Amino acid sequence: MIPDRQFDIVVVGAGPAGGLAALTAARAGLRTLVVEKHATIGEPLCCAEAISCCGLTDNIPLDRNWIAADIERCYLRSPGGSEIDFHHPDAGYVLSRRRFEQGMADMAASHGAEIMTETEAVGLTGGENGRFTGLRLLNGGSEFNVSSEVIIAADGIESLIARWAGLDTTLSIDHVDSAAQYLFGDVPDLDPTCLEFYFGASLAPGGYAWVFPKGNGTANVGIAVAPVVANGRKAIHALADFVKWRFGSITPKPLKRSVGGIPEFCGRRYMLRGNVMVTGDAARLLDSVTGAGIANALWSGRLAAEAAIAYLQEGRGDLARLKEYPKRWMDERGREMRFFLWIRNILLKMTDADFDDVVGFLGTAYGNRTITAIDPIHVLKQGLRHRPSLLRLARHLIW
Amino acid sequence: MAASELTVDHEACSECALCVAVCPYEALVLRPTQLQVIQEECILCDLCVIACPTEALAIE
Repeated sequence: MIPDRQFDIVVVGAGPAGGLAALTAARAGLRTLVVEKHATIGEPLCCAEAISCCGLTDNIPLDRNWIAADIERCYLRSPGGSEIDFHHPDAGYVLSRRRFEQGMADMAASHGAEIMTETEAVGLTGGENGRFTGLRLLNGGSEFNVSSEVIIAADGIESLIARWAGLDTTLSIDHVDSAAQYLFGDVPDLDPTCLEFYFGASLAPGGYAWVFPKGNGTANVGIAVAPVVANGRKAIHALADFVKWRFGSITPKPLKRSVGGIPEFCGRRYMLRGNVMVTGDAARLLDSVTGAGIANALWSGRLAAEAAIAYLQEGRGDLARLKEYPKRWMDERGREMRFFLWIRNILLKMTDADFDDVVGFLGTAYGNRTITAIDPIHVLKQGLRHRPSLLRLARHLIW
Repeated sequence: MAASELTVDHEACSECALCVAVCPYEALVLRPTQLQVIQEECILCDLCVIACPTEALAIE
């Protein structure tokens, strides 16, 4: 009987978290396998593709091939027309996630990682004392096992690997946003360096609409709504209304439609179980206000792989060594993630007038200046000093 | 009259898996890229229908 193939690390999912985890592990000389259930890495797209400059370059050196647009400006608009414009020469990028993820997979492969597409994980093996021995995989109708010292789950919102490991990652309807997006061509009235954000209790209940340019006159145009306050309104219908309002009679050409879910941040509870490390959307590591997930996925994929490398190189004895992963991630991102979760509770209950007030205040506090960073705590202090009536929004934290 | 059951419009469904993630009963699966309902597990709680960004899911 042919023994199961043996790996140091098996990564499930070749998205941003899985790709960077595999690249990090392969670079360190670990026997690495990546399994991806889709035929093509980076497709289908389920993302608005924007990332801050440091969110990307803190984790991986930039390859210009990944960039669809360079962003220098962020524009926020409230329902009543209050506006704010932030300018910064290196604010961020809109990526081509397909080129980005394929690029990382190619780099991982060049360092010795094995990549299996059209290969689906259908179960974990082992599990005694929290130590899983490997995975059961399905490819071309045949099932087979692989064994692995460490398993990194990067399987996105479905998060099956974590569930099989005993972490109940089921999402509460109160703690998700539901989103829809078109890739439009020939977009009129588009600043190719600007991310546009639109707020409103009826325009985008509990969320916001966006226009993110992708170069050559194309843009990701989408909307996220929170079902808990959307009163049955579907993301695709809210998107149709937004498109009509934003572009009027000049309807842009839809090239592609995508939809998806955005989980709220759930703390560190889904990040580790035994030798199964959970990263990215699978661990519900997204910004609860913006829904941004790519940078968090990259951080978590890299930190998980680094903890796994240390564990494997230091003798594989003590699984507690893997706890470095959630610890380092929380040290790096925990404070901001918890703060955004807190802010989301306010956002969910804001009225159109509240948005007009807040955006109006930010406009006067920051104006049209070049700013290097928005410190949320600083914004809060500014708000309390200059517009104490905004304090009334804090009541949303109580009930 | 037939009993109600959860139905999937595969044309409207983009396999985004939000429904899979919100279902408390593990009644929805992507195998591997088409959404399927495990009718024996589904109790028609409606959470997936509410969560879905499109009109791919319905209880009929």
